[in-house]
Amino acid sequence: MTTTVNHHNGTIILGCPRSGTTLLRRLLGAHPNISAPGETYILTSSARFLASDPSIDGMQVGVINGLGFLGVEEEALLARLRAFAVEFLEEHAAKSGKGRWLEKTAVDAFHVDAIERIFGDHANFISVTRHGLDVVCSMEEWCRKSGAYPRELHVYIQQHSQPLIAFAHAWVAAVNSILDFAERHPQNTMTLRYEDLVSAPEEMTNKILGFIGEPVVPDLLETALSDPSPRGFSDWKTFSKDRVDASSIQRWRKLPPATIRELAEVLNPTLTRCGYEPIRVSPADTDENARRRYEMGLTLQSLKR
Amino acid sequence: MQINPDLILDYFGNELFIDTSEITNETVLFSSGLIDSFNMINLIMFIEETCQTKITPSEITLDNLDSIEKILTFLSDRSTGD
Repeated sequence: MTTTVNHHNGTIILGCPRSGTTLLRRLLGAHPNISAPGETYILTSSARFLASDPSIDGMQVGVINGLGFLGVEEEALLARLRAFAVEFLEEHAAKSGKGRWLEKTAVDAFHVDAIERIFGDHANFISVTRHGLDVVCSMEEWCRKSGAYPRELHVYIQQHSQPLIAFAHAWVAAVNSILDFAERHPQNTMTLRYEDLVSAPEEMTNKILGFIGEPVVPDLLETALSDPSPRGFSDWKTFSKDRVDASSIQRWRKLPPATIRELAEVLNPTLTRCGYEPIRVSPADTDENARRRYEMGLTLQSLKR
Repeated sequence: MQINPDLILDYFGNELFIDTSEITNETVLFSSGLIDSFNMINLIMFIEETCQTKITPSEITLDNLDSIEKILTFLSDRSTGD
């Protein structure tokens, strides 16, 4: 874990959706000098602003080259875009009477490359990872309850017929891009795992405050958790909790073994990269056993009547 | 291999990730919802593999499988031909 003290005025949390980023924002936002509003989408929107499509001759067709033909240098464009985003965050911090801003929007995790171009060495970054199987389960619940898939997940849903497998691929892509970023920016990026945050919230929060150069304040957790009202876009679930606990770890164990086996194939290399144990799987069923399982399932359903 | 309560509890804890701290031989497993259909199938397959036997669809009943005690009685009666 990086322990360098950084003096950037802004901090950006990067983590795959459903990785505890809202909880972390809630904890840090209770600090008297850190403004951490609900999800603004300002970075994701800035990233989308930079999106381009390759033309057949290989040129990127988008705003960078479009304005480039008018003589606007890429670095100048990125600096103006950064200033545009920061202005809103600093303005809100000032209104809140706080000196620093913190930005967290869950789907930023799918725009890391563009956010790096805009903010690379101009902010502190906290990268949060959570076990992929728990993220996949939580994503499924999140999409089912909200009745929609975020735009950033559409490409995965289109490519994979099973939503859980699609979510697993989304987690792999987001986490690897965040870890790649952290490796490229070790001086201004601190990495932590969700499981460590919920197991030792005070210790982890204090380490983050040390990293960004803010003093530890007493009763930060109590202050954060005593405010039950979410403001702006947010994960509604975390605000129903008045304490941090580890009950959301290993919820994936309720998944059927065949599902875990399929997910493990997708997740294991990235789990290992994150420092998690790879998922242990039993061999796949023979066709005969698969048929027998199905028949048993039908018989068991009849016992419930 | 002979099946016994400890073996079943170990399977619950290590393979099905079920908290076994309050499970006794009499605890109702399936009809109480403690074990869902997926895990009940896994348990039946585990019993078959451990005892080197096949459980037929007609034997999948609450009388035979709804507690550790019932499972042991069912297997015992089966081996003695009752």
